[in-house]
Amino acid sequence: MGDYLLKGYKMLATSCDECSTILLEDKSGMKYCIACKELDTDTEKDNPVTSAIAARSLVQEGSSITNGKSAIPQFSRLDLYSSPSSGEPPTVTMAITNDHIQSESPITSLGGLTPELQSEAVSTLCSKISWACEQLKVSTSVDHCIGLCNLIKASTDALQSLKVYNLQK
Amino acid sequence: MERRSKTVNVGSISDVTRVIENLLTSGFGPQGKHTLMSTSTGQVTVTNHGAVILNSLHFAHPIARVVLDAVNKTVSFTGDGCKTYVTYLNSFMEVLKDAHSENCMEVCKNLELFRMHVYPTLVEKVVEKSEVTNLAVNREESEMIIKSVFRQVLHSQHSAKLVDIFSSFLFSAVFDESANSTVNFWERLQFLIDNFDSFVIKLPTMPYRECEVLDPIIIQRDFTTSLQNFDGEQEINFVMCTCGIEDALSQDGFSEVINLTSNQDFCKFMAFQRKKVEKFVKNCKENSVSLVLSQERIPDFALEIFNSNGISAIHYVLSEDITLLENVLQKQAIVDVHDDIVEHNICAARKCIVLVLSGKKHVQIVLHKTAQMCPKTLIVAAPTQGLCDQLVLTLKSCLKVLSLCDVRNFSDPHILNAYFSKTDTWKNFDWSSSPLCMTINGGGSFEIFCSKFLKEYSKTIDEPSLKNFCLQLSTSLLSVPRILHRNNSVIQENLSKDFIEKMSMLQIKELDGDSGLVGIDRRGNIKCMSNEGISESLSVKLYIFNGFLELLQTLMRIDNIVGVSKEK
Repeated sequence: MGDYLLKGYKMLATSCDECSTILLEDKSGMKYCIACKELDTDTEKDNPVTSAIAARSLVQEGSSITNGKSAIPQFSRLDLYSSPSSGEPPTVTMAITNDHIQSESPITSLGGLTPELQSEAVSTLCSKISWACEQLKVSTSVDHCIGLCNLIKASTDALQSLKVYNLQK
Repeated sequence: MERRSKTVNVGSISDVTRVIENLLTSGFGPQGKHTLMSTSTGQVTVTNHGAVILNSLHFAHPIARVVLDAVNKTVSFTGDGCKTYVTYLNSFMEVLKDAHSENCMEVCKNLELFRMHVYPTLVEKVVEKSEVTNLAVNREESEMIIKSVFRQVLHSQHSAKLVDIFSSFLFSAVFDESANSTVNFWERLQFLIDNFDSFVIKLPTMPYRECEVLDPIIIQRDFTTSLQNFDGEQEINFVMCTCGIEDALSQDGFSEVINLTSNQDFCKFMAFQRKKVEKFVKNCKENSVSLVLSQERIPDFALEIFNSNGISAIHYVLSEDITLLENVLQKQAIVDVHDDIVEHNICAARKCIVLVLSGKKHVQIVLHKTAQMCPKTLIVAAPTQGLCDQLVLTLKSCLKVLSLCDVRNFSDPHILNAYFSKTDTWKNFDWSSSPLCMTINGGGSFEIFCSKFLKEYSKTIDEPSLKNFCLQLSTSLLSVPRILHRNNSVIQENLSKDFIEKMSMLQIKELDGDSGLVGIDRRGNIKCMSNEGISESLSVKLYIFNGFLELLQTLMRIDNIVGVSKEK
């Protein structure tokens, strides 16, 4: 915000309705919110709910910190969305690929989701959350716990998005 | 009318103070960066001065405007300290925000308790760590302390070499050994500050090394006419006129309209005018006046009369110069040429010479040493007009800070009395009439010491909220040395870790001891600052700290911002 002030923008007395950041006004009178226009668009790629790359890197970070003895299996992109128990075939619970992940709200990226797929997604997410909770109970590594908490949070956010999508429909 | 209101809380205040602080912290300390600002018309300013930067920006936010007004009022008194002030404020707001303290009234209550119970003790401890120098005793010691105060203001604006040049330049302007008594040191300094613009001549498009100090007074005009035998190296008497030579009335007054219908009438009129001037000149000669300074234009026929009678003249002298001469010499300018010239109109000068500065002729009227209040004239040179203006502003700040080093400017005389009565050096010393200079080491040492004191003192406080407040203040004060460390450090990696390690070492090793306070040097290392040659005025430091506490109280008492706009 300081950089914009030095460029001649004016700091207004009003705040953004969405993020409560102080608004700036340029010389032509256009109002500008730096958080919405610059910071938030930049953080979408780090959101594990909308970005598979972010989700994969989150899990890989958690497993690499536990000195090679990962208490959780190494997840591939498909594995993230499947049951962790061995022997069961991985099921694709979400029709989301890297190509379709964009920096927009998760609701729009779920376009075309059938009710069956939706219920499978919900059940898988719930099982993921319960598995993570069990792991959290027994885990003694701080970083591993943080990774599990992030996974729970990401799964909960995904559930919330599905719920909102359902309501909209 | 449409009324909109917005609640103010710690978070919203912190958002504003963070933005303001971020604008200024890059310029903090000797390695600080400058900001280049340009107006839409192309005028460029390169500056490090916090108040100049903030005043150039557009703040419509009411909280920002309150902070800006407070900063301006503080800096107009102290001359310096804008960045420190803003840093104190923002760091404390950040500490409050991190602690999720939303109860502003509790902060106000704690502030009151702090100022009543803790602050006097803090000031006593700080005064014990300060340095008091008697400027009347030793020239070398006086020079060292005065230059170290100047360095503290200059080092964030210029390189080390230029800082040395400017501090020597300023020292020669303020410290006059030939003055009869150095008791007048502070009065002369204050006189220079009050009339600073009159004692500065700017020379843009000249290199910095052309800055010099000259004996006063310099009239920024050339002689309109000069004596044929006038070599300038002799004692002279002179008078000042605020009225026109041919007419008693100034240009603003009503003039008589005379209709001259024939050549004869015109000649008679001119002869009459000539007679008036000759009478005035005769009056001057009777009183041995050899120079006339006139605020108004001297017509050609009058100049001819002056010349033929051996009297020099300078016209279009600025009214400010004439007022200054009146104040310095305690003499009166002539307001009516028809009146006789009396003793209180006649001024004496040692010599009068022509100077050429930046290709323009000036007249230097060197006054007698009996004109005690008259300080030197500063010739300030810089490569561009903008840099010249900034340098003049910085030099004025240096002088203001030095003037606040006067012990008599200290806020609490009781604490001073207690200090002087306890110290062996100053026991039975009449500090109110001697030129004593009170300073404290720079480099963030004041903040490090106060932070440490508050942390220790909080252990003795029973009341939990006041205890917590002291700890919060202690944490926030460390932001100043942290920023100095960040800006000054040669290696820019792992700065936070490096700073924490150094502060931990400081607590273990107890470096400060008796030799002085510990601070951050030019390289970002923790050192005893006694030998670093950077001193700050203790009064300025305490004034800024007090100002911060008052502004904090004001901000904590704001509940809502109410915007009112007329309905269309």
